[in-house]
Amino acid sequence: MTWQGWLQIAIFTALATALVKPFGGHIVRSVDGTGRLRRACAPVEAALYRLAGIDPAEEQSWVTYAFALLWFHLVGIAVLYFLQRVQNLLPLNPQQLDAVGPDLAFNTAVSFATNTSWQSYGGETTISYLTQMAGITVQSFLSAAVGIAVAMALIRGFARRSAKTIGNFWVDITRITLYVLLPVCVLATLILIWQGVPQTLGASISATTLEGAHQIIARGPVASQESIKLLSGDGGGFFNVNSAHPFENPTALAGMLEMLLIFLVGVAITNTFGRMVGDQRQGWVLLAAMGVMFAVGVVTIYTNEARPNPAFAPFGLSQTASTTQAGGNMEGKEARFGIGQSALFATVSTTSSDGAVDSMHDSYMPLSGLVLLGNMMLDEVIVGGPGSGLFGILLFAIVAVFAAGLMIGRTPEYLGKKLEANEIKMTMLALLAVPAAILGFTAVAAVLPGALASLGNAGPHGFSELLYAYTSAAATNGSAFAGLNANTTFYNLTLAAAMFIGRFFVIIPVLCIAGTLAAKRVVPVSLGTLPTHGPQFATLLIGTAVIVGGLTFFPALALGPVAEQFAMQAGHIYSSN
Amino acid sequence: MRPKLARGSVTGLTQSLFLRITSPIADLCPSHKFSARPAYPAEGAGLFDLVMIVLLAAAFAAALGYVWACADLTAPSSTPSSNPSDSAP
Repeated sequence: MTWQGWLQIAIFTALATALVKPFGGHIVRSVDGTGRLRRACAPVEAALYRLAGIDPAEEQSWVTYAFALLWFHLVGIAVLYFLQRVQNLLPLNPQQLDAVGPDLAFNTAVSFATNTSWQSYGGETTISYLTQMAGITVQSFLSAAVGIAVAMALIRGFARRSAKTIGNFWVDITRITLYVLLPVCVLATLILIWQGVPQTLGASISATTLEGAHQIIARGPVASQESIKLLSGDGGGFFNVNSAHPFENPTALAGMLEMLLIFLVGVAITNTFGRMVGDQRQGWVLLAAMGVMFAVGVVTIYTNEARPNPAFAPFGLSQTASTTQAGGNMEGKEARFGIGQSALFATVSTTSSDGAVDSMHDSYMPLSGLVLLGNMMLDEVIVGGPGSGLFGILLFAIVAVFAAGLMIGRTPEYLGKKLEANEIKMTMLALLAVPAAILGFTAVAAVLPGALASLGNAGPHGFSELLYAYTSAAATNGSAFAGLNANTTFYNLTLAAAMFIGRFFVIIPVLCIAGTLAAKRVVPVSLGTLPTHGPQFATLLIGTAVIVGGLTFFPALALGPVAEQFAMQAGHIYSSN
Repeated sequence: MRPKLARGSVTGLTQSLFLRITSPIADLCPSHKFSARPAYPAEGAGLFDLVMIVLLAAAFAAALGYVWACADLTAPSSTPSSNPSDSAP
């Protein structure tokens, strides 16, 4: 470990925290239509509504809101699917890339529409510029907007009293896209271009290296995709190696900006929540719970990766950080990033549901792999994706309040709303959907010889590769452990199913909760009300998330990273498959 | 090995159609590893697309049905429950 590594983590944490209040306020003003930017662009917004035949004053019940959301996604997935299938016939394809195969196109369409961005392909060798810009980048914007819209609907559920509606889906996604996502992306794109990220429609460059070898250097409209890839919690790279590629992540400043973009909406929306329910402390408590879990994760990974690899001990190699080497476990990490930045980026990526990577998670030590898996298995409660992180942690907050209510025999209340059978049923459905998809599909893949043939490693590490793939998909993270050849029909279809379940079978119960909460009256605070704005509730919330997540996933983790860690300590290394 | 089909008969056509529809499943357990995917035959591409469209439609039908199921599950009860403990301070 180096002081530079710790300083980098500290600077990132301070900057992310500093952005919470201003950007949280900006989200509120953008969505409720009182912001200056919104007032300046009101004619554009009004024109869009006229064009689409939407009455912005018309509010929707949760069922109407959910149907609008589903039809919107159906069209989005279909468009992205067909764009990939006919990209060879369309312009802006200077590399003359062929049409994407049906199962891969299906997987990719579901992946980007569900804000997962799992990629079973290498971007620069598979996807044309037109598909990147008009398909994938568009879905990155829209899927993030949908996540934030669902979070806003749930917040309205808490904030409104005896209401039958939770907002208007079309108005929400229009305002979020226009005033929250686009301005940040334009600014971030310009900064990334300044830092050296390409933004061109020109074809790849052919170069002759100093050794006389022929090399093709891929480029394209990278900067514009990069900014929304990070801000949206999407994480799908323009290049196969994602943010480890120097054209995606060229400098230390660009790397810091990218991590801040990943966290920006996720942390700020806790403040949005506090403002909208009329008590900002409620938002700070959620952020504190997220912050503690994030800190535990990043410290564990950094200290674990900076330690000497015990497998190298018999060879007498020096693994101590010095002026000539980073020390510790550098396999799968970029030399220019080092261990501190790689550990931070990996933690930010897996806690946020973004899934962008600048190091290969397959090469992390088993204990670090466990933390990366655990971050995703907690179902986006540690910052999470834009919007999805907030409704993820609010689901656990409902469980925490429910558990506290059971202890004293009172009907649980959260923010003045009684949590009754309906809300608890929906919370359970949402919280069980993701584990069911992860564990179910992993179990099926673990017994199919054809699925196992795609693994890069044998033994517990191979099992971790499988578990990671389905965890990443169902938690809508999209990062890859690497080591798994996922571009087969089996994986493309089952991973798409996991992404679909992980997104919609969580969002629908969340909207249902929003609808039932909005219809309730507010119960006045009494001596028997559980305070939810202090450290006591933050501790209860963390305990609930860790215990529920731990109980659900411990058996699977014991077969993967836990077994591998013990085996490694005993000197047993599993060969590649 | 493909079974020999009775050409022109209804049974043969049905079998042929069934094999074509289920042919993607033959790819479920690929014997190759870390090799490039074989290109899909042009003649089969339309059928593969049809399979994907059906899958997408089925998934969305499930999601739409799920909305209705949740709505039914949370429909307001005619006899609202009350917890006597709530009235205590």
